[in-house]
Amino acid sequence: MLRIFIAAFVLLVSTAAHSGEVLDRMAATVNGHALLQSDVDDELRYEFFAAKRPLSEASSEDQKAALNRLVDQELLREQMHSKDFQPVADDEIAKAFETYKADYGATAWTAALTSYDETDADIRSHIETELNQLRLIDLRLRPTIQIDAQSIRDYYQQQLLPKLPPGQHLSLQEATPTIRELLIQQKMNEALESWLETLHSQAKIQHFIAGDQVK
Amino acid sequence: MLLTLSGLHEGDTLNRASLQKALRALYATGRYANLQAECDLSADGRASLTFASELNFFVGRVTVTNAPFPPGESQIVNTSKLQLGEPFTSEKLDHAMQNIQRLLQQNGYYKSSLTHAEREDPQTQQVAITFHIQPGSQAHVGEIQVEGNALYSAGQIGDIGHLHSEDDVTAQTASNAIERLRKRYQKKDRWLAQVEVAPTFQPNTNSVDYRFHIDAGPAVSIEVNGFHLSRSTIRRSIPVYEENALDDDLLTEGRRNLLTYMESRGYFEAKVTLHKETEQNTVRVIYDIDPGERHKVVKVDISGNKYFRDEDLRPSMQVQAKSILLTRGRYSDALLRSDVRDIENKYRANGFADVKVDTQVKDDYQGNNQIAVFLHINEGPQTLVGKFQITGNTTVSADSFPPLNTQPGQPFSDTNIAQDRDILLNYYFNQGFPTATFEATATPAADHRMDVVFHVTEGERVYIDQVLVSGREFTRPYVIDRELQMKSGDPLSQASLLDTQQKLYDLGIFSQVDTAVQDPDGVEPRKNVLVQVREAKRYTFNYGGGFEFQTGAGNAKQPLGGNGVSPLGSFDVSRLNFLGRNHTITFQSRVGRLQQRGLLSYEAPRWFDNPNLKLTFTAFFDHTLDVQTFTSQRLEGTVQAGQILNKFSSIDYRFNYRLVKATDIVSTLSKEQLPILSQPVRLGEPGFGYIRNRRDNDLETTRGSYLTVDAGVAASYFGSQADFSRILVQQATYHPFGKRNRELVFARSTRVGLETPFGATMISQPGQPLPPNIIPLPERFYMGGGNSHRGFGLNQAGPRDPASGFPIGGSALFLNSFELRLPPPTLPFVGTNMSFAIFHDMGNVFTDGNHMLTSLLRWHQAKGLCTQTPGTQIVDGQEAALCTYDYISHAIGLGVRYKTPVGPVRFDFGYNLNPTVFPGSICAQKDPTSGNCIVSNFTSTKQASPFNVYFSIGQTF
Repeated sequence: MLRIFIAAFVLLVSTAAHSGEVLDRMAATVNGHALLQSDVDDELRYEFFAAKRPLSEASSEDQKAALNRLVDQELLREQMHSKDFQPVADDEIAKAFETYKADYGATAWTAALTSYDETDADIRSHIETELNQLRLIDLRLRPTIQIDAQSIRDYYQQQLLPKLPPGQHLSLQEATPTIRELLIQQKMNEALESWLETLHSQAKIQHFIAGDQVK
Repeated sequence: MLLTLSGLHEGDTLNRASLQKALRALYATGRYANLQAECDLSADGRASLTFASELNFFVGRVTVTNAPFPPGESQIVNTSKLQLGEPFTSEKLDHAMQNIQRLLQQNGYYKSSLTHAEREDPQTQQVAITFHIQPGSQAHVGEIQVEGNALYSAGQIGDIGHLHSEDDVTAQTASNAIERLRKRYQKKDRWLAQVEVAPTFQPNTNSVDYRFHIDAGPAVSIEVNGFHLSRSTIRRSIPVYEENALDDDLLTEGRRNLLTYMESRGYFEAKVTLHKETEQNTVRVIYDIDPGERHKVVKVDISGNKYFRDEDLRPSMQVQAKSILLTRGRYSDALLRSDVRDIENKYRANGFADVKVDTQVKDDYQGNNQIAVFLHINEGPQTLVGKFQITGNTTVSADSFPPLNTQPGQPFSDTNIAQDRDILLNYYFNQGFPTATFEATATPAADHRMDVVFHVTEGERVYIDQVLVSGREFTRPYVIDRELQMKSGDPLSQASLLDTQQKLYDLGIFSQVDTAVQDPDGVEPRKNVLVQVREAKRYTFNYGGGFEFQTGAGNAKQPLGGNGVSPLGSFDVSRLNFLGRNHTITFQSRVGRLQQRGLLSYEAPRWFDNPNLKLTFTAFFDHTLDVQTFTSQRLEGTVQAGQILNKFSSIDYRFNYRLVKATDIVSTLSKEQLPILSQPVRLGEPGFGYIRNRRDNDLETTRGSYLTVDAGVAASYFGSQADFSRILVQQATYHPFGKRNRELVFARSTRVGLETPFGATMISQPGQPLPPNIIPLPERFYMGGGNSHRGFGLNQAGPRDPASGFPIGGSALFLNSFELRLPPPTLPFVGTNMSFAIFHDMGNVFTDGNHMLTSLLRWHQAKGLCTQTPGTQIVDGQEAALCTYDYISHAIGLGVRYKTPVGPVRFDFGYNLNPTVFPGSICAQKDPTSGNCIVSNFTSTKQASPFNVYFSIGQTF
């Protein structure tokens, strides 16, 4: 962003029409917390960075999806204020960041940062947010999930066995931990949908339509 | 200030993060509904940064036009749930409309139309909302339909529920119908009846059909076996009857109540069980009582207590030895455990963390089934506070904190710390720290001490930006402004808001005063405070009726009057807030058999803008017959300045100009006196009245004192036709004694009055020729009645005319009253609302001060002077005309007081130990022209009745 100096500083209170370039504006509010257009842009850039998609392909649907993700993130962030939640430690974040960077590819990393106007700190911040959310979801939802033996058996017989390559053998006992975790993750995804619906219904959320200027 | 919050300054380098931070900070103030940052770039790379905003608005005045009653404007405004000062949003408005629409429908206005209009003020960011209602016609009751097992037809259900077609539907129609039906079912022992109703509006007929779904349920009978209890005891104990419902919780509570009742009768080992039996269409609820042996608690002994005395522990104990009210005492294991717990908690709250109470119960103590309960208290060491420190108070000095319970050397307890937490947080909230928090830590120290530290986190201090007053129409701005207890720049304090509200209400010119903080949840450090007033109706009308009852009133033909009831009516009109200045014009009138009075006054409080000064102008007409001798007419004007000296004392300075006249003077008074006595007299009198009130409660005084001094001088210099000074002093004291909460009160009142003529004015001596200038009859002292000497009828004390026997008042007065006010006993029906008093009144009215002084120790009237040969003429200065009334009359009596919401009403029965004796006479010769008696002959001595009864409101003194 071009660095500019603040030469004059005015707070307009009411209906004066103004024709300056809009640098940033409100995109939504969640329980009194403001989500700005720049936040939506950041989220969009990170998503495209992670997917290695060119930014030129970003559409208004992608913008909306990014804003909805930010709303969900804000609702989850409000849940992190409870005393039983411990945020992810710095070393864990650092380790995850290094892993992510290694997976991305060292040579592609620097160019991508420039291309998507991101920095290491920005990416690290996103990773921290994701890790905290995963921890919160695990803390809240995992204790509510029960997987019975019959479900594991059904999955083993109906899903796993048919997909095993010929000649490969995996017993139920060996497969049980993996199947259990898989089923837990599936149920947690369903539970997460339901939980987010509940949080949405209880929250005060206001969207500001893109293109509407403050008059 | 708002721009400072953004964190940006001119000359700064602008980047994304700082701009984001600025936008979020501005939004968090709560003042903006929307924000965007815009930039105009110049050629040299400098930029003008602009934050364009949409303002948030906050709820201001909410009014309703054309509101039907019921529900009325106030209820409609309340139901909108639009709170003063809170952010105004379209969602809130929609909810308000829905709520109001629902309320209107509940009140039968299904065809109402509701619209709204808002008026926004960008300066204050307040929005005034008005709801316009077209109520339409009220719906009426339509069809009644009944489903289920109701036992009654639809018509009968309608009759029981008072649902008649063409009745208007109101908010209570359905609920009252359900209530009546439930009661009807309960009379038939259908305690489990379920009654539901679904009203349905029929727009074509503007009526509401009621569909009842009823299940009468089985008949329920409640029986008590094993012990005979009266029906009234059962009904009192089992709350089913009181709550008109039957559920397991109530039945269980009934079991507990029955057990408590048995224990109170001495059956300390009683057991009560409950079971139900169901047969066909009947449910039987059966309480089985096994009373066990009957006991009596003869002794409850407490030992080992050093810190608390027995008197500090026993009153709150539930285990009690036998007494007059508890003939068997009270005991059970559960009660004893509860008492032990309470005693231990009491000790722990005073630092005795290791306290232990051991109990021993001995049966057959000193006799069969006699229980003695022994409690031994092992207090243990008392933990005291060692070092005490408060940290975190960076803005407020600890010296300004209110007194705290926790101090070095004081008992250490969690209870004290919890109370101190409330004290400190309350203090901080009122100093503008709404987010202050408190934590306490305690560390054991040597010698049974605890070192305590209070950690205070003050948070951000919030100040007042502006005080916005709304709702003022006629009232001058300064009238409101001078009552405000806060101003711009002050810390935001809830106490100041409440004080302001109270002071504005105290003016008496507002029917509603609301105070609130604008945008209370916003994070701005300076907030507007809203004061919204609703001016009261400026004209108020009061009317009333009543009666006076006492001896001495009623019959003007007899010297002693009679026992009389005098009806009384009143009508008052007040014009409040005259010219918007909080001045009041009042017209008051009283009309009764004994008194007709009219008063017009103009009151200007805060004279010279001083809250302690008040100026009053009064014009007054009075026509009173409460002295049998004459009717008093008085026309007067007064200007008075009142001054509040301090919390207890006030003084009034006044100038009074009046015309007084005695009319209808009894025709048997001597003909020479009539012209002098009946002449109207003009009096100009400056004076003052001083009051010092140190009573704890004006209506029900138990301690303190009360002093009034009223004095004035009527002199020709002030335009007066009679010259005399007058002073009346009353002093009362109140002393409680006896057990706390059951105190007796010994009250004493002494009243002394003296009039001293000077110049040409003289005092008339009874039975002597009248001097030409006298103190007018209506200006003299009179005494007797429910509010003075209760040994005399109304105004019957003191000197009397020898020819007629009627009282003529005096120039000196002495009255002393003693009253022993007993604590109210607990009685059936009236509870503790009735109390009794024993009184002794002594005193009299005297011709002048010298006669008063010489009579103070004289307890007997010189009755021998009041007689002469029957049939002989009564002549001034001779024989019976020399009857003297210079003695102290004593009366004793009993008073009954009943507490009402407006104060005690009082019956007093007085017995005069030495009632007045005076010459009885009969007119022997009348003036043929005027009809006045010119010759009175003595018949026999007459004596005032020793018995007197009075009915009044309020205490005697």
